[in-house]
Parts: sequence; C-alpha cells; structure tokens
Amino acid sequence: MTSKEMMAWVQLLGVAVVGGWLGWDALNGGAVGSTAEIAQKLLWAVGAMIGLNIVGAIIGTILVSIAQREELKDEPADERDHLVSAKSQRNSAIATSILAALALIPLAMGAGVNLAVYALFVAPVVGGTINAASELYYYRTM
Amino acid sequence: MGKGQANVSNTIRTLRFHAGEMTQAALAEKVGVTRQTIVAIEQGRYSPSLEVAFRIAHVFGVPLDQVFQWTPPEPDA
Repeated sequence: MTSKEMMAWVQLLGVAVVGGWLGWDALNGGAVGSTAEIAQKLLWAVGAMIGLNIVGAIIGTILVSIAQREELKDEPADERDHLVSAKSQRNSAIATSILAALALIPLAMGAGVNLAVYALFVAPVVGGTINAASELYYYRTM
Repeated sequence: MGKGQANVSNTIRTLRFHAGEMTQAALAEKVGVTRQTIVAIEQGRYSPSLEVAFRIAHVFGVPLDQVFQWTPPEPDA
C-alpha cells in the first residue's frame, strides 16, 4: 500500500465515523433545532473529520510501516498519480454538483433552511468520499 | 498516457532480467516515476506517456520498439 492509498482509506474511515455519528444523532432527534445549532454541530463534524484525518494519517503510517516492514514514505507524484488524481477529482466534482443541484429541488418546494445547511455539508463530504474511493479504484485498475 | 490498452504489450520484465535482475524500484528511480507505476506498466494496466516510454528504453539502452509493442485491434466484422 502506498502513502496516497493509505490516506484515501483514512479519509473514507473518517467519513464513516463522522457520518455514523451524525446519522446516530439524527435518529435520536438531533436533526431538528435552530439553523445555528445545526450549523454548529456540522462545524464540529468538519473539525472531527480534520482531526481524524491527521490522527489517522499518523497511526496509519505507523501501522502500514510495521505491516510492510518498510517505512511508508510519501513519494513525489508522477504522471500516473496526476492522472488518477484528475479522474478522481472529475468524479468528485460531478457528484458534488449533482447533489448541490438536487438539494435545490426541496428548497424550491419550500423545505426549511436547515436542509440547505445539511446540503452545504453533505455535498462536499460526498464529493470527497467519491474522490477517495475513486483514487482507490483507479490505483488498482490502472 | 492513460488506462492500459490490451493491445499494448511490453518486455520490461525480460529487459530487467537481462539487466542483472534490475529491481522495479531501481528502474523506477532511473526513470523518475514511482515503483507502483513501473508495476502497473509492466503488468499492462497503464500505458505511459511517450516521454516515460523513451526513458525506460534509454535505461535499458534499447530502441523503443524493443520495449513496447502495439498490436493493431481486430477490424470489426
């Protein structure tokens, strides 16, 4: 496993953990409240994902280094890395754009502004998730 | 550059063998790409850019067509 693949796994894990927390919170009545309350919660979620990525990168590097019996180094990107990145970002941009556009439909039909706050959070997070998943896919197939 | 086409083959594994069992890591360092990219090229999963292809040929001191071979696709019936 390369450093770039490890980081993609860490990102997916972070989304799973934070998404699980938000889902559990929503099922327990956390999805209702003032716009400010929901925005604050989502800000904490953003912070949690950043923190998980930092901690996950450190722990992941140590664990992968031990498993591979070789120090895991972040090598400079070459042309294949750039191609994988470009294709993954394209997928991510498509998903983010579609989700953002879809979020406008219920808002146009009069849904509450809280939905817009969730859409502001969910669309880029899903885009980032698709970016990470795409990277893992392309690194295995090309 | 792009996803490896099935009709592009290469002899990198053989050339590495004849170059004193050169490792993929050593070849990658000489060419200036990652070892994973050499693995992908060798397995035919990734077709490198023309520049990287020339660099690989240069490392082994052989012409480009001795490293990479292209078979024209079968015409549709």
